[in-house]
Amino acid sequence: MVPRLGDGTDRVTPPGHAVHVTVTPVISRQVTTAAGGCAGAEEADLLDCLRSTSTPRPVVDEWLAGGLRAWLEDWAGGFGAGGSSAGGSGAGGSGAGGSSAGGSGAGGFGAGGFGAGGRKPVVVRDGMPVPRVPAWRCRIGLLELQACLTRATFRLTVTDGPPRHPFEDALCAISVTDRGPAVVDAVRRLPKRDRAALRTTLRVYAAAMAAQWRPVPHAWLPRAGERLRVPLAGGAVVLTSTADLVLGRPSAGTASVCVVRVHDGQGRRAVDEAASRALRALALAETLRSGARPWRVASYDPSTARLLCEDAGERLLVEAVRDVLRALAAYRDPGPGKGARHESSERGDRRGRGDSAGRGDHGERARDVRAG
Amino acid sequence: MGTLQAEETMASEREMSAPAEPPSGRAGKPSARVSRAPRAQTIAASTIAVGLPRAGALTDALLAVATPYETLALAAGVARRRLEDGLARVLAGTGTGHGAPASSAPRPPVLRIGHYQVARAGDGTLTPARSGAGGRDGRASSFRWTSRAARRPIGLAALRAGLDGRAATPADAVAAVMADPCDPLGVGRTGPGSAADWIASLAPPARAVVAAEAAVWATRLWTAADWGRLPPDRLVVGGPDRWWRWSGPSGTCRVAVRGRADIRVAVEPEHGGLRGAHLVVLDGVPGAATRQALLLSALVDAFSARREQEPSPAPPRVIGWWPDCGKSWVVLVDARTLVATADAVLDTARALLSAGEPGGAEKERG
Repeated sequence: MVPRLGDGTDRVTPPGHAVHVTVTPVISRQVTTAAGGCAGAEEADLLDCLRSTSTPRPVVDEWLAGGLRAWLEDWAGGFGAGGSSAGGSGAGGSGAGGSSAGGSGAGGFGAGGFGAGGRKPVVVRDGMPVPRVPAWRCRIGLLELQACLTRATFRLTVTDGPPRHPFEDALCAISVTDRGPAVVDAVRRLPKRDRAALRTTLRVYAAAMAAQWRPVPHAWLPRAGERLRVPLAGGAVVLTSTADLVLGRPSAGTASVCVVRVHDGQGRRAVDEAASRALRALALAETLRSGARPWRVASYDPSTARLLCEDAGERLLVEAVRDVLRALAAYRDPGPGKGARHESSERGDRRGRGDSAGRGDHGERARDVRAG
Repeated sequence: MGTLQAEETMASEREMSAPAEPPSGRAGKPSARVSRAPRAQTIAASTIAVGLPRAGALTDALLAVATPYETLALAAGVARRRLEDGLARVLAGTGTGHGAPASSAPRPPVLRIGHYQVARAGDGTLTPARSGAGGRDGRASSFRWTSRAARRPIGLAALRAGLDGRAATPADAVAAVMADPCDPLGVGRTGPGSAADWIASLAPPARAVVAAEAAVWATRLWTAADWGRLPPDRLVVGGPDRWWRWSGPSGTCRVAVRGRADIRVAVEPEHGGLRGAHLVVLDGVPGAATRQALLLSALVDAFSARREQEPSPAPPRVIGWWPDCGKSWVVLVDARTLVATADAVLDTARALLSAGEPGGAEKERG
């Protein structure tokens, strides 16, 4: 049986399996837009846009997180039970991870226990599979360095105010992190021309951030740089994501948390699919972790000074689950060509075939809050 | 929400009387990877049935009354004897002079065993690099303070400041701690190599990042429990690590087991049961041997209480909490789990010696 989504009555999980979720198509509520509350000023305060209370916060459906987890466990179960080649076929594969009955995120360790017998877990980062290459073997490229320093600059801006010397300050900040020595070493090895370009880029980004962001009031409980790791199938699959800024208290019944992620779009104004996917993955990870969906998720691109912000509704989360299922399918069966469409991924798509508006409309629903 | 535990528990794979003999005699020979399946018994753990707000569920778990285990002191004695006998065998079999005192031989290093080592040894991922013996290129790896390592001491000091009413928000508290890390209410001891000295030496951007990371840690713990319900006079936030030290026949300390808990709710009898718990905040996601590692703090308390006749018995339960993934496990302390933890410590000692070098505990310093 392949459950369908979209008509408001179908369920994410087969009856009797675990927690049921009734998915009703919702139109994402529009957050403050450039033409609306935050409009006009070049130095629009994006924090105010994020925490705008012009509309009431939605009530959290406590069953949603459990249903999404059960759906993911169905697919990830094959990785836990019999290695990467087994199972994963919808309703049949609850596997070692099992599903948590009666609560959001309450389960997740079954007979196999966490750690999956010492095997390395399958890691899905930001909705994409991560190749099994040790981190220390990966050379840090220029784009990754730029992203690293950009995020460090953003964290400095929202916690301590705009840095006076963005490049040097970001490098100094990174130097005390776990990856610090590797990043500093990679910057040192850069050709002089690349380093100069990196310095210039960072100065431009820092100026944009300084104009649009301010240190977050402590009463909003800001968390700059929060890691999220959600194990599935007894730890055989791990969803990971990183939030550059999290605001608000944990939910007590209404959606209350805002999550911001910095994405370097290299100046492209079109909605970047990778950024959208990463944003969805972040919303999903936060939902599974906390048991309550976040209020708003936003992606900030300093290269265009735009904030892509939207409510973390059910549709966005369902789309995020599909991203993970595609990633798992690609991991399990990469096939001869990377773009090949496999049976397993088709199964994943069929789950949501009724939800015709669920794909490809991300950019339409998302709103540009601020334009340079 | 008031319900504490889901039904998910795991049955033990071995009984309490399982033998503690080593399976092979490869001690003392460095290996590239100690891929040993965990020998210790599997310990049952249960999850906390969560609702919103989650702080209520975790607080309930911390305050829950457990049925007292009548012979816990006896069980602690059994576990301790078993561990001591096992350690004597393991160290005697290494051939490195651990077994007998020798006045002219250099003093053998102390084998430090903490949560990190037990968890790594249990899931078979304790490599020489991870045991602290050497890096991937063969060079010795040593501890260095990072923002990640420093966030716990800073975060705990910040939480204490918040509970004492000295700060209104986690970020305020972290800022206060960072402003004067050498304060007696700060991050702990001062001196070369200490967190306080390291913080004081940082440049402003680095301090900002360290403060941000600590604020994340502190905010998670700050919002994780309903602190108003926890009795302040029975609550210990952070505090120094507790150690159980074992000396061989020579009388010098050979093995030191670290018991670390982030929150301790003191044990007291109530309603015919025992109330009290340890909360351990952990990074990442739960691993295969996490349950044994979780119980280290209870094991050290149980051994210490018996030895020193202190009225501080082991807590009836230990709660592991992983804020990265939002999971919580409750592990009950009884005879079987204490013995299983003692076996896990023994396995870890064996694995550390096989990996070539004791002293991996430095990895867990932060």
